[in-house]
Amino acid sequence: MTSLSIGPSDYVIICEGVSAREFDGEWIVLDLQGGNYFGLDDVGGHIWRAIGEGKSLSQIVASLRRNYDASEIELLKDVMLFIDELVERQLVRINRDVMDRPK
Amino acid sequence: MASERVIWLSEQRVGSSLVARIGRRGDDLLAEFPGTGVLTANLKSSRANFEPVRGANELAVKKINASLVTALLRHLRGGLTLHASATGIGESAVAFVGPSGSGKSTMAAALCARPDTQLVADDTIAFELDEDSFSTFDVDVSPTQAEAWLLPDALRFLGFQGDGSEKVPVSLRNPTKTRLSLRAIVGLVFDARAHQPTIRSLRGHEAFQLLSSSVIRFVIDDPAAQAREFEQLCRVAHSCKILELRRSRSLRDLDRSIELVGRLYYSRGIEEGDLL
Repeated sequence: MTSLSIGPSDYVIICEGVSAREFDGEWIVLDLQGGNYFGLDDVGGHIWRAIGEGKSLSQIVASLRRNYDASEIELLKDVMLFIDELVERQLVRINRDVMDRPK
Repeated sequence: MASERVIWLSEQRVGSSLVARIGRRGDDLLAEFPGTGVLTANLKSSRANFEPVRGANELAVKKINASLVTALLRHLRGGLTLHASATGIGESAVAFVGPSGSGKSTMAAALCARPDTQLVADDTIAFELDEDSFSTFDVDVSPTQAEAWLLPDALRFLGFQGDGSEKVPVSLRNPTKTRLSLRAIVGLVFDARAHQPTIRSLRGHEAFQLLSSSVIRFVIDDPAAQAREFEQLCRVAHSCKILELRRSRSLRDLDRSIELVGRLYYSRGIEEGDLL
């Protein structure tokens, strides 16, 4: 696992060369460089969709709170761990460029 | 250039034996089937040659030519082919995927013993996915092989003559000659703990994993080919049932397996309770 410096106001973007489709309620993510398929469960799929919509981590957590019974801190920790894993697999990256963030 | 080094990118083994490997030599693509032959082609598939190894078993050369060589060249032209057997009834087909030795050919041959069932494929199923009709509900498969290759115990169990220890080809009654609509893809799994054959639906990543592991690929390092395959597999997964059949290795379980599989030809909307 990488040790990311990431906070609630950060944004994450899907890496180039990554393609994803929703199928049977699960997201299937394809890394076109490595040719590997990854499956995301219900929560993972929710986060993936929110990343695609350009939401910040805190916005992602807020949208999860509307659907799942867990505290904000718990959800934030889970989201960060999940994003850490996605970064490690080179499926997403943290968007540090303020100019490039969604308005 | 003949002197260029081959870089092997993937290989397939059965136990410890290498049975096939895919590589590149400069701009050429190579598929080597040790002891049988080497397929060489360029990316555009405008030049392709399968060169049997001197002294290779003629039947093995014939089998590979009729299945894997054709499938690999189809992949270069953008086609999707799965390592699978398939049988059809009327206009519907059911395919069987799984690792080598999982009983794909035996299942197809056993189904073809029924008077209404035709062989569609023994080793490779060729999908007909027109790029401009991705929204259509059906996916079609073309017939690819007219013979099933069976191990001696399966041969004898199904009433054919045979001896030795290698797979041999058997001509089955009525191989189909037309495109059929694929109703289901069944992953075959041997399970020593299975008291009786059971069949269940696979969903999401599990279904995708089964399909992806069965794709026959010649180009494996091209993102555009990967993206195309992703779209093709999505379409297949949306259009037909993806299932898993678990049974023991005993050929006595074959009748019950065939009974379960037989239902798949007739209904697209099979309920989970019907499958178990």
